[in-house]
Amino acid sequence: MAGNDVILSLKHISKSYPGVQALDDVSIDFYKGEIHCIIGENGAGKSTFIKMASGANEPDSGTIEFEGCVYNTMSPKLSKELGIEVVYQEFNLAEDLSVAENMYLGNRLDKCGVFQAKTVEKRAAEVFERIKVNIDCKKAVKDLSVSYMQFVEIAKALAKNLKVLILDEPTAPLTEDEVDKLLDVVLDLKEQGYTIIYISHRLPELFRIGDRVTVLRDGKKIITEDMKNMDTDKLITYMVGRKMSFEYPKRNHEIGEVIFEAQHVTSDKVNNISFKVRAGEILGIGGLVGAGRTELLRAIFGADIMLSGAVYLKGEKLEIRHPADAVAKGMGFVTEDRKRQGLLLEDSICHNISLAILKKISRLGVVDIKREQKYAEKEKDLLRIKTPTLEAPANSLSGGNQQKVVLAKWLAADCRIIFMDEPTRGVDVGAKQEIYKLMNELAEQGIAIVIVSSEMEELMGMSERIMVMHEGKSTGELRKSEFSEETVMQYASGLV
Amino acid sequence: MKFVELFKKYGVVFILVILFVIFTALNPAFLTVTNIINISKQVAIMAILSVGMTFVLLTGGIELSMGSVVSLVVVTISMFVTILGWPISLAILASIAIATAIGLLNGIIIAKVKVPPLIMTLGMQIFLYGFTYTLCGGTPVYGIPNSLKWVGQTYIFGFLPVSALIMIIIILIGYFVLSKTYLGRYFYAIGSNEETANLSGINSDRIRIMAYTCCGFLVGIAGMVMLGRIGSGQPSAGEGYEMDVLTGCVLGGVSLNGGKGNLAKAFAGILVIGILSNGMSLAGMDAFMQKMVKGLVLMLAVILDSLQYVKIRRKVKVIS
Repeated sequence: MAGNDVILSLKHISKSYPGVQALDDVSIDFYKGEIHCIIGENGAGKSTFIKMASGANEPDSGTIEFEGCVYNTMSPKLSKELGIEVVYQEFNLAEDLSVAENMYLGNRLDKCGVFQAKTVEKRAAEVFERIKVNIDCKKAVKDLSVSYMQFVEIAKALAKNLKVLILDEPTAPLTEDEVDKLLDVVLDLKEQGYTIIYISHRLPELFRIGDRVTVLRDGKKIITEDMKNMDTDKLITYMVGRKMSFEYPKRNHEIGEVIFEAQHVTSDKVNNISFKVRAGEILGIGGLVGAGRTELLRAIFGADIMLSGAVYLKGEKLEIRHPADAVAKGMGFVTEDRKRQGLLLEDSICHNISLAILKKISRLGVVDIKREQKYAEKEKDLLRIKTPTLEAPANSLSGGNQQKVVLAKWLAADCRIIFMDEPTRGVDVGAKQEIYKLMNELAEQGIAIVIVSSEMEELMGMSERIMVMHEGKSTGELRKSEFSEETVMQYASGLV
Repeated sequence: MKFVELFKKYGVVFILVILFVIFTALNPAFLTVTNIINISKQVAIMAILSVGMTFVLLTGGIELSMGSVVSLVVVTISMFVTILGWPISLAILASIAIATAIGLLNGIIIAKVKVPPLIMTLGMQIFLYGFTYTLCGGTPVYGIPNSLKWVGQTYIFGFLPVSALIMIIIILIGYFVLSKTYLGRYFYAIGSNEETANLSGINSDRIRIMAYTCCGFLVGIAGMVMLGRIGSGQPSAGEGYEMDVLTGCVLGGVSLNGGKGNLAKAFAGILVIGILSNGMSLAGMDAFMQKMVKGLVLMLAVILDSLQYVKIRRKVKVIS
């Protein structure tokens, strides 16, 4: 580590939102040239921290120091001028523009108003050379894979006067080998003297790259410590404030008859896929990002057009033209992106939970509000959704609790089969455990579950069988005894 | 930002009070029983239209053809009765059916073909004005039986115009639909996040078509009330109403982005527009100046609606 020069320092930062103390007297020093990890459960204050550093929001009290200068707050403009860049979970790229154009968007690299494509491409190529990423800078961003979009985001930051790079859950959308590549790049950047603030839920990554780690819990700083003095158990204990072993809960119930069957499902992105799920069984779908896992679920659920194939529930052939038909038959879909596809963010928690059953709990078109309340109350207790009131808007909840609301919606709908697409993405360890337990309870009640997950451990821990996909096709099905990361990866890469 | 929030909550009421004070000061005739009844008659048509407009706005759409449909309904009822000799009830029913069908058509094309609602309904508006004028040969249809005028010219208990009564009933029904039925909740749901709504099993296309169809039906009723008030089949009867109604709704906090708003405040917004028109006429402002004011109010309403999405800049201090 390059000495202990402090580059960025938060001093006694507090910030509250209505009903929540998001940060409570938090002080953190970031050393020049270190990889500083920040972890904490959802709602611990990680996103608020980013907002303070990037100037997206201002603290109620406290100061922010950068290279010796003390500020009362950052602003988006100031933080960029100082060299603080954030790569968010949601990319901020103009998809139709080329890689190079994206990187220099807003920089005046023109000659008398004429855009200098050659210069820009050359400069972009140089940046990518520095991080040893092989990419065609003329390519449109929309033609890139998710991991390459991430590299473009990082390169975009590098093209500016970067000093501190904040990465917010950078590996969440990536598959395991893409993660390796990203971590290499991050380590490389550190070698080049950049300071990196790395926020992630995935503990193994932190041990691979982190120099120091800060744990936040309930808006407070619990500890900042050298990574080498930490281990997984300690980190988890600090995060949750109680001892917790990270294990996948066991199930020992009988698995029933085949309840759901998909035959030769074909869509734009999915090629002739068949599978069966039994009552009480959890079927995993594995594969790399872009293998067509989400698209398979969407086609079955009626969200995308199914070109050919058939779907059977309890032996009955279903005609699904719209998700409404699927829901009416007792299917549920926990979508990957809860903010855009799972919730009405500004609407109340109660309304979100009842969304899929509104019609069912209506008489002559009039919603039975008492029943609605009862359902919402019941699911809230069952899932332990942390909120003072069901009338609070969904966006007032932390990520984990928002995800629970999405699950609650489908539990209320009394589904026979639930598709879960990345059900624990961006969810903290505690909520993860609760979601796993809940999945088991559902399975015990005889509900069939199909889970798509990019986290290999989760996929193998939760599933009875795993169907692996590669480029829209099914490459194989593994039984529990055959599970191993290597085998799944082989199938996922289309090597078998 | 505080002021904007406060204004969004109670701004409409605030404007109403100010307008009352100003117009009473400008012309004492403003605050008389006759004039208040007059205002209520003028407002009735807009308020009925505002219920339909709110339905559509909530789903994230917009309906600009309603003025032309009012004109069409006024002319068709008149022609059905005077030229075809149909009974009044049949003429009204048929005309409302036509208005409903136009709403249905708007809805189908907007929902299924994904034509932007602004362009679709604007095109419909231009077409229908042309069609209506062609239909009646450009001149008003006279000879309406007096029984058709009862809507505009009869009073219940001696002071409540029938048109105002119809307005109250429609607003109450609209309120009930929006707050108590699943259809109303679906309007809000697809307006705030269509993707989520669809994946939760709500057929957003169908709900959107419902919104435009209900709106069309209400426009038909507004047309009937309009004919009762003006007493002849004027092809220009509905001109400009769509903008007044839109201004009123948005002023009352129904968001152009969908998913937000309620009828009570939309009604307050409509009252502002009604009182503004009436007061400006009484104060002797000419039509051109009135247009300027109305345009300004529309822009003000839209600016306030958009302001909530704009973030303000902060001051940065270097302490040391």
